[in-house]
Amino acid sequence: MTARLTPNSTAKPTKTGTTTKVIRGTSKVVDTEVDFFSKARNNADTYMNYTRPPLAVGLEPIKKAFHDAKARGVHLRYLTEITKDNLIYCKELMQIVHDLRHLDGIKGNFMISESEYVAPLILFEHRKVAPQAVYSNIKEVVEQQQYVFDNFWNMAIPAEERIKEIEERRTIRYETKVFRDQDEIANKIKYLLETSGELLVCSSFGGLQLGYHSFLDSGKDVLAKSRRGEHKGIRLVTKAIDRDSIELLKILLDMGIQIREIKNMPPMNFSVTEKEVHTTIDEMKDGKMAQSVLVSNEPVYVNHFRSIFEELWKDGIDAKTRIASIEEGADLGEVEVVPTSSRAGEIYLELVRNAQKEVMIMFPTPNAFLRQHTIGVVSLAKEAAQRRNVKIRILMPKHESTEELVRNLTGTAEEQEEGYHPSRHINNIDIRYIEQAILDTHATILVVDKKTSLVMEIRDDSKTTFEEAIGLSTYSNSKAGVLSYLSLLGNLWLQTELYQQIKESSIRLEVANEKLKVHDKMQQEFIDIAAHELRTPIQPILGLSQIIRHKLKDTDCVEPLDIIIRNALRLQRLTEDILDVQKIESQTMQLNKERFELSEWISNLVADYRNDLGKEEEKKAIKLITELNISAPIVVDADRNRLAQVIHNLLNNSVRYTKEGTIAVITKEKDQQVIVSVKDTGKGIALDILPRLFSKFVTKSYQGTGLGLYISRGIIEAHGGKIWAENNDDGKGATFTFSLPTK
Amino acid sequence: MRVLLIDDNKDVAEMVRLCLESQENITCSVVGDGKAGLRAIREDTFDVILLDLAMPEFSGFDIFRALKKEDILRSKNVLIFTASSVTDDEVREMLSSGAKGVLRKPLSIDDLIAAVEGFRQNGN
Repeated sequence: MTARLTPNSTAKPTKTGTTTKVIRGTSKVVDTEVDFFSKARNNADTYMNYTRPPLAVGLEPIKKAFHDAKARGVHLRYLTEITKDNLIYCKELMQIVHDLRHLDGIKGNFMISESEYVAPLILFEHRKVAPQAVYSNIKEVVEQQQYVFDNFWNMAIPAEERIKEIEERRTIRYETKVFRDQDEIANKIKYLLETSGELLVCSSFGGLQLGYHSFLDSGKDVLAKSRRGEHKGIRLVTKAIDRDSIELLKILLDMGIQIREIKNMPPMNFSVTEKEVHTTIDEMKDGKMAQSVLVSNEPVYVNHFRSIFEELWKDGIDAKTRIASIEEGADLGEVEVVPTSSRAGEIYLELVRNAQKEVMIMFPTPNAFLRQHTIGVVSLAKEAAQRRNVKIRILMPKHESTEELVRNLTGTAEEQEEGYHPSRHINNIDIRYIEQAILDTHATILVVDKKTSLVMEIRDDSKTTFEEAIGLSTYSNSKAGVLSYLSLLGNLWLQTELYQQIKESSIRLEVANEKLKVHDKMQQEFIDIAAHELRTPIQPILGLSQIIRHKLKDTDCVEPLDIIIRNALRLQRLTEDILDVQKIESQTMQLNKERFELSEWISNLVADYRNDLGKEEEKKAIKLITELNISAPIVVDADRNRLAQVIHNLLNNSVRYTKEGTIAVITKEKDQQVIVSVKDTGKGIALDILPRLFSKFVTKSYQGTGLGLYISRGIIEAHGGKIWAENNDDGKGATFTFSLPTK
Repeated sequence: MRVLLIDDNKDVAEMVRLCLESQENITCSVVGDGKAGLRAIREDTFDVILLDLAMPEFSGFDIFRALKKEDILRSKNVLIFTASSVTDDEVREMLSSGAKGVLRKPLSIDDLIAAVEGFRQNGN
């Protein structure tokens, strides 16, 4: 404001006749305003706070001034704050002025035309005309105020918009009401559909049926709007699609409703638009459950339900997919949590009572069996087996507390198998005992006809009644769910079978083992008797031949008698060798181990052997020598007799294949082992028998039994040593070597 | 020198008798069963007793145990004469109980004679 206002100031004429002045007194103010309008030629803009519109139409001179100006062709603009209180005045004013706009929070008052400016004193008292006003026709003031007005005008919104806003707000009354009357409810729903811009529905199948029959037309309209882009469409979530609901859902899908299946329905049906929610509520009325509908447009509720819906939608399964899989015959079961044990018990009995082909039950504990026996499951199962030929298969831990009941269930005591298996298909009832540890579960599992399952978790196994013991249960007729329980039980069933087989085969093994022991003993006895019986007849043959030979030593009977004696001795050796073989093969050779110094012992042994060898005419060309490690004593822990047997065998072997030459017995100590070799210059080992030299009956000689090397190997190996043979590098003769551990 | 042979096998017994009696001053009595054998040992004196072990009814083991029990085993020159498989442990056991030796059948006559002659006392 450029005009300097001073009290009592009067008009200050300027050279152009322009002035700025203060007008005092309400009538003078009114006069000034009327005068202002009458002087306006092109436009008159008014800027007033919310208290002024009533004056503009209520104060006759002013109203007339507006009309007159308008009639002269003056363009009238009016800017104010439209409120629900001045609404009707503003509406009237709209009829007068050309353009009315609304701006929030207007405080000042002024009017401006192309040449004048009038600003009544700021006053908020209703219906009171300002007692003072400022007037100016100074061009700069007018221009400046025009600029101010234009700015405000541009910020303002059209009065129509503001009025609508106010009027709508007045009609929208936020409220929450419960409707019980069916017609009223129907009307409400219809209204909801028609006024919706988007519709979200969560409904059970029953609700859908009702909705389809009652609101098909409204629904079609909505969907038509949706196709035109005037509506966001209908989205629907519903529970557990099955064969019964499939037809209707397909119709709804064809109509254009988007549908998803959800696993867990909230405990009510509801529909929600962008501004209103309907939800069913269950009320107790006169002791009866009655369903009512709660309708609310309170944004808090509406938004709450919208967000519930979106959550359900997010987790839902596309109904088209579900329907397709159902039509292809896939799983269409449901899984239901049974929260109370009494209800579980009812379902339990019902399932067993209605079983057609097969009942499989696994009792996790003996107590579970007892409790369920008490509620009648077991007798129902028996009845099913007897009357309807239902196959009953029961898995349970073995326990004395259940034995008698099990006997009663499966038949007579005589039919019991001993031990593990309590029964065999008596009356179609097959019970198998399973180790409780294997079960590792606390739930009774029931599978009926491979179609339904009921899993009852034990809350407290110490309780005697079913109702106290059972916590949550799960009922399922979902193919996948039931099959998994079925395979669990099937596996356990097989496990008991395997367990039984193992048990049986271990019993068989034990029996076989016993038999084997007996057999071993008998064989040992047989060997002992055989040994005795073989040796005994040799004695008179050998002894008497020798006696006769002695008596007839100067006759030509000597040669045949020598043959008899030689063969008797050979028979004796063979007998002893065969007995040794038997000991080796039955691993019953007993070693009388003692620690002794080897070199000297071998030296003596070889000396004795040399002595005996010297007696044989044809072996006189053999030189038997020793090459012994005498720098340090070699102590072994061995059976002297057996070791001597080995050395004898090796020497016999060498002698047998050596006509003349040297046989050397060599000892060495190396890596905590003593190595004893018998090296000859004989004809060597035939290559064809070299690989199996230490096997039984491998010989190229008619003198030996073919067992000597085999027995030698057995003796050396029993001492923890090794024996081997090789032809000498120089091509003359062979070397037989054995090693023995020295520690 | 008087030798007693207790053996149920008649062929073996005959062979032993022929063998031993071919020697100077050896007479050999033969008993074919255990009980008679034990009686003979008790009632008579022999320089050497050849005792077979495996016999029906009353075996050489029974005689051996009886002699041991009556504490007369050590005073007798008992040589075990057997075709049975006696283990080294059993041999040790019998020797420590008082048997003078263990002969395993079949045995050459030279070894048999040597074993018996070992007990010939000076001046006999």
